[in-house]
Amino acid sequence: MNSEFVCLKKQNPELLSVLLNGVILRQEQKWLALPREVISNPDGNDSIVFEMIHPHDLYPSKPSRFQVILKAFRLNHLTYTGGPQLGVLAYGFLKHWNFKPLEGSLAFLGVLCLQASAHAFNDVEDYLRLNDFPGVSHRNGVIQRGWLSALEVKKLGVITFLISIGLGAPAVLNSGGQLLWISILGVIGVMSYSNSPFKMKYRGYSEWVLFPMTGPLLSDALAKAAFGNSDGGILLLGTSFGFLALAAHYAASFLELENTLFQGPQLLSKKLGFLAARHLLLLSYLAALFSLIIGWALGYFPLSLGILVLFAIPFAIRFIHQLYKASGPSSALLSGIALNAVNLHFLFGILICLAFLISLL
Amino acid sequence: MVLDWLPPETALAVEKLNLALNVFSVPEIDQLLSKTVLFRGKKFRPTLCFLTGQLIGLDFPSLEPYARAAEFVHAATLAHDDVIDESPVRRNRPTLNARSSNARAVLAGDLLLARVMAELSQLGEIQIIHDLSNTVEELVHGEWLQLEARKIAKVSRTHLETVARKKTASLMIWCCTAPVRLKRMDDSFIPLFQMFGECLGIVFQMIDDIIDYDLKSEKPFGHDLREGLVNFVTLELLEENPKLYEPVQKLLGDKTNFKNWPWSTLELQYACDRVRARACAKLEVATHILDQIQFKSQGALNQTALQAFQSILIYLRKRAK
Repeated sequence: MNSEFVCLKKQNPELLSVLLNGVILRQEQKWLALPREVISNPDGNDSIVFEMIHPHDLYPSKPSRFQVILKAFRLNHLTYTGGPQLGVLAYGFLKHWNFKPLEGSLAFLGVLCLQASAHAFNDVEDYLRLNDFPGVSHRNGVIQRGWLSALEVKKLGVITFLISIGLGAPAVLNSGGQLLWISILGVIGVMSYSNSPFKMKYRGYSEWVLFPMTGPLLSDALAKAAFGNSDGGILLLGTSFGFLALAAHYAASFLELENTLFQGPQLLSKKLGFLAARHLLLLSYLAALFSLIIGWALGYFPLSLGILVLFAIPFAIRFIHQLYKASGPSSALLSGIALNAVNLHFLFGILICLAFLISLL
Repeated sequence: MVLDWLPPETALAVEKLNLALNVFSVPEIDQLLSKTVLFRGKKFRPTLCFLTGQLIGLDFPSLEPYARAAEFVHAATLAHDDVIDESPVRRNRPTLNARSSNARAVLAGDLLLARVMAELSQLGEIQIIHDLSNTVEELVHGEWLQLEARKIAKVSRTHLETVARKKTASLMIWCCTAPVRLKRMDDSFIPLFQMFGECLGIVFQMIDDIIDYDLKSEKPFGHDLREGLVNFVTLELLEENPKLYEPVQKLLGDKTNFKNWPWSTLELQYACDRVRARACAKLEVATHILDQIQFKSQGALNQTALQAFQSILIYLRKRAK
């Protein structure tokens, strides 16, 4: 396998095209061009070193196109919206609310597609900013490995975004205006997270978008779409999930805390530094638990919820213990932390749903 | 060898570098060190020091204390590393701890560091001393991170690069920047020489990791894995073949003489190729930085030394491929 290298300055008009299309024309041949290094130049016109690979020399383990597309959408991360939605459905059944199957199921799928499109847009933007080099465990790496170009991922994002609008439309139209503003906020949230002109993630407002979109705003929206109803329990359930998503988001940021070269997201954890950021993650989990306790205390949630959630506590404690054992953000003990946080979110979601369904029986 | 590319005068300066300690209080330490960590080393760090100094117009006598300091710090880390790793052999000879004891090896390393402080403090270059103390801190942190990573298969690239930067590259960075400070060059040169030193250090580490999986090398095959450590090649293997995580996790730290490795020859070949490509990408960066230094200096650099640096980069590129 022979690689060639080419260096392009940031102000080179060819650069954006190479980054978007993932190919470069040299010696009358088309090569895959994958960014490998960034060279800081004193005049501010940084250079990017691209590795040029002949398409035939690409990794032998490239999955099928379908598998690559699924990987691009980061399916395991769909727990951020899938989990709360399932929790809301289970809660609604527990409360014997009137279920609207068409609007409910379409809205459910619509939200998943919306999140998938957010992933796609986010990954493209991070890639164009050179934040995502392969090897960071929570990144899917489909663009970095040359499996899909940034432009292809962007197109996938647009397609899934449009699909999500289509899927969510029946619920919005049949809601009598209840869901209109929530839906608009949801769409703006997705589009503003990493895309121009707002780029909330890079301006330090990612938590303000992430929390409601995976938390109370989401749970309230689905409850109204699927049941035409909502209450304090729905909001508390959403709040709990929102904090879990935040915790997972902070966990993913630890690996990048020492990465000062790239223009990554300006999370609160980055501003606080590693030692304080650990407390932030712990507080997020405690806040998630506290929301459930309040819900139980106010009579919204059954006792089975508390019992089942206890099963997740040992995992959470082991996870947090590992975090506190690590000497710093570069510690190997943190290598699997982002994935563990996602899995913990998923586990909480399953247990909460089970608790509601058991109570229903 | 890298040293084959040196200008004759630089090679002579490196060869004649005085590494005698003359520890009158405890002569045994002198003998132990001269037979182990100070015995026939490649002296790459002093070479870097001399060559950088020559590049920017410094004379060798003024560089000698700093070249000596670099070699002593490197030797100290080797002495301490051998205790941590419980290594009986280095460079085909018994290690310091094997010849005497762990306690004496630690003390000998401490003595080297103390001697560095004593000698450099007499020269009065506070900023250079400050940089070196930061470097030693980086070395310690790098070793600490590596200790934490023992027997963990799922390490990230960020972790490996951080360890390489701290353990291998940090001292090379100092070797490149100390002459620049000594010459009182403009501060804007410092980041360039830092980046150059960092690139060299990381490339060295990557090449070392490739050699670790070379059957023809002097080191036992998969030595890092036996020591419980994932290196750059192992990382590429695991990233491309996630099914290998479990078998590799079982292998980590297992020092029994096993021959049945869980990966195929093709998988290992591709992993090595990926690391080679990354090393070449780093060398591209180093080449560009050297060009930037040359441009910024407006022709004031020593051309012989510049050619030597370019030759070293070409040599490393060939070595990586």
